[in-house]
Parts: sequence; C-alpha cells; structure tokens
Amino acid sequence: MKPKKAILFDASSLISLAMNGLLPVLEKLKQSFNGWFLITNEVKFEIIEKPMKIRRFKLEGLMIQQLLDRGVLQMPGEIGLNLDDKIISKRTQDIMKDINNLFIAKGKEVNIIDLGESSCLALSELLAEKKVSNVMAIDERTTRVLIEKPENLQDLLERKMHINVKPNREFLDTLKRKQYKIIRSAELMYVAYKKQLFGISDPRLLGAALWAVRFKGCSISDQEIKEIVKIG
Amino acid sequence: MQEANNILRILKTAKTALQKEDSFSLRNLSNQTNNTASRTQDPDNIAIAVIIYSLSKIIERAEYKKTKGWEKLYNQIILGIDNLILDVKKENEKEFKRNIENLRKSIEKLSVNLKGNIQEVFRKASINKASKIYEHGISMEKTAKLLGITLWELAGYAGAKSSEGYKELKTINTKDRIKTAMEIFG
Repeated sequence: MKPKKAILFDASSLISLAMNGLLPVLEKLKQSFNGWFLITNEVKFEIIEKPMKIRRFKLEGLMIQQLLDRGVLQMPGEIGLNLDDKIISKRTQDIMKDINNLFIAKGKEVNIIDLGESSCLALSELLAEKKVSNVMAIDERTTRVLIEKPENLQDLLERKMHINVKPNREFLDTLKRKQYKIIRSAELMYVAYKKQLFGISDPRLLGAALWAVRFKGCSISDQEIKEIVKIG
Repeated sequence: MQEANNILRILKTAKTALQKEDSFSLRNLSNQTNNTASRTQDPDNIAIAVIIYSLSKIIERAEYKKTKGWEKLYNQIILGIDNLILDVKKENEKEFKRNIENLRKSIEKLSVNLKGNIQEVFRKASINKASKIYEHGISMEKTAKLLGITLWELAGYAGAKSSEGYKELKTINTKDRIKTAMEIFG
C-alpha cells in the first residue's frame, strides 16, 4: 500500500533540526506519519555529502545519513512513483530558470534561488501531479516568501537594494496559481509537542523548541513564536 | 567586472580608510557593497566586500599590529589595493581577478602565526557578507554558494540575527500554517 502524502524537506529545515539534536524527534514524527519524508538528490548533497567533508558538521551529516539508511528519510526514486532523478532534475532546472527570471533590477534578472530549493518545488509539483498530497518543510525565508507572497519578496528586494524591481508579470501570475504548501521546522516542533514526542513534560518545552530552531536558521519571528506558544 | 565605477570608488576610499586605520569606515564601505553584490552577484564585487570587511576586522585588533610582519603585510595590502585601482582604470578584468587573488593570498600567507587567525577572519567575513546578502532577499543556498561557505555555517549565523521589523516576511497566518502541519499529519 502506497501512502498518498509526503513531507519534502529542504536543506534548511533539516539543518535546524540536526544542529539542535532534534533528529530523534524527527524520527518519532515519521513513525506517527502515514506517509513519506522525502529529500531530493540536490538536498542530499547539501545536508550529507557536503558536511561529510567538514569536520565541524561531519557528525550531523553522519546522523542524517543514518536517517536515510534506515528509511526515515527517503529519496523520491525509492517510493515507486517513477520519479527518477532525470525527471526531477529537468523540472528543477525549469523552475529555477523561471524564478531566477522573475524579478528584474536595473535591466538584469535577480538570481534568487538555487538547485536545492528549486528541487523541492519541482518534487512538490511532480507529487501533486501524481495526486500525492504534500507539504514542503522549508526554514529559509526567501523561498517561503517567494512562494507564499511573491510581491512581498519584490518589496523586500526593493527596500534592501534601494532600487526599483520589476516582476515578470506572466510568471508571477503563474506562480501565484501554484498550490505549494510550506511549513517550517517550527511547525514540526509544534506537532511533536502536541503528540508528546519529546519525552519531556514541561510547560516551557514548546517555546524552548521554537527558539532553538529559530536560532539555527528557521525563519520565524518573535511574534509568531509567542502566538504558537499561546495556541499551545 | 560589473559596476566598475562603484568598485573604483570603494577601493580608493578603502585605501584612505586603511591609511587612517579607520575600521569603522572600512566596515561601512563593505556594507555599501552589499546592495550591488546582492543584485549582480558578481564574484569580483563579492570578493572586494569580503576583503574590505576582513581588513576592518584586522585593523580594529591591536594585537595584529604588534605581530611580527605586520608592517610588511600593511605595505602589501596598500600595494595590492593600488594594483586593483589601476586594473579597474585600465578595465583589465583578467588582471583585476588575478590581483584580488594575490591580495587575498598575500594576507593569508604572510606568516604561519598570523595565518590561522587571518583565515578565520576571512571565513567570518564571508559568513557575515552572506548573511547580509541573505537579508537582501537572496535564498540561503544561493547566498552560501556565492560566498563559498556552507548552508550549515550560514544557517547558524543568520538564525542568531533577529528578523523582527521585516514586515515582508509575514506571509500567512500563524494558525493557518499550524493547521497545514496538523492536517498533513492528520
């Protein structure tokens, strides 16, 4: 029986979890999830192959490799949906090209995203086409803002670069019609908290977990942390 | 090289600031390159930004000046900046790239004792510049690649910085995102 839902992890969300020692919580989340936790080849390169060559991050790389070896994380090619690397790679290139032509500043396109981030979007689309319900777990803010409110990214680029940024209207409209869904490691922590997967019983736990992922790169504001803790 | 006039201005001002041992001005100059570096992602602009930021960190530390070989290093840096200014004026891009690398190497290789510290300064400067470019709206992975650092280094550094006040980052309602997460686990 094939699951019909998946969470796709980009590098930033796994990095937040790994650097906080929260991979065991991720594993417990997987056990309570009747679906796939997927990463693309491009993400694998960033979170396993690269840190393996750096003493400072090698341990985290090894720990994520373990999750892959044990099937907690899976590659799209393993799940029997004919999602081979070539198909994902082709879609990745197309998406990256479109997005990196989305905004024009001083007559030149602004290159916004790279392969790993584009590959998550590509896989999300391909899974949706195969009727697999999916969300992406993305902690870095640019891709999230780009997908959820591209006009906000335009505003940010303009404000920070002090220049006019013009969008490619046609692709902007196409992008807005796409049905990507994004959560962050923060929301995963919320789910883990609700499911009591931490093995810690303390009212301060949720806030502590949210601040921990925030300090390792999860794009979440102080206000959002307060709101989530309040929702509890 | 993109926006040569801007690079020329930055280099000339950096030389003066260095001669005055004005680390504050050097850091400001480096920050002025963030906009261009984010927009053009031109490696030359980025390399200049990293070198100038590194210099600001080097000269603000009194111990560097006391280290044997500092005077030689200082003269090499000034000469290196002069060479870069000349290359920009002559529009000699090939030589400019070579001289950027030479300047960086001369700083790195001056002495074994200094080397470790200075390489750390360069590494931290690269992470600092990356976090600035990330703040400008370029993705984390793209930025890390531009600066030659890992996502792991950037995530830790960027995460420690507050993103309060960035109204553009607020995209969807907190409750709605939690609902999405809870639903997928349904």
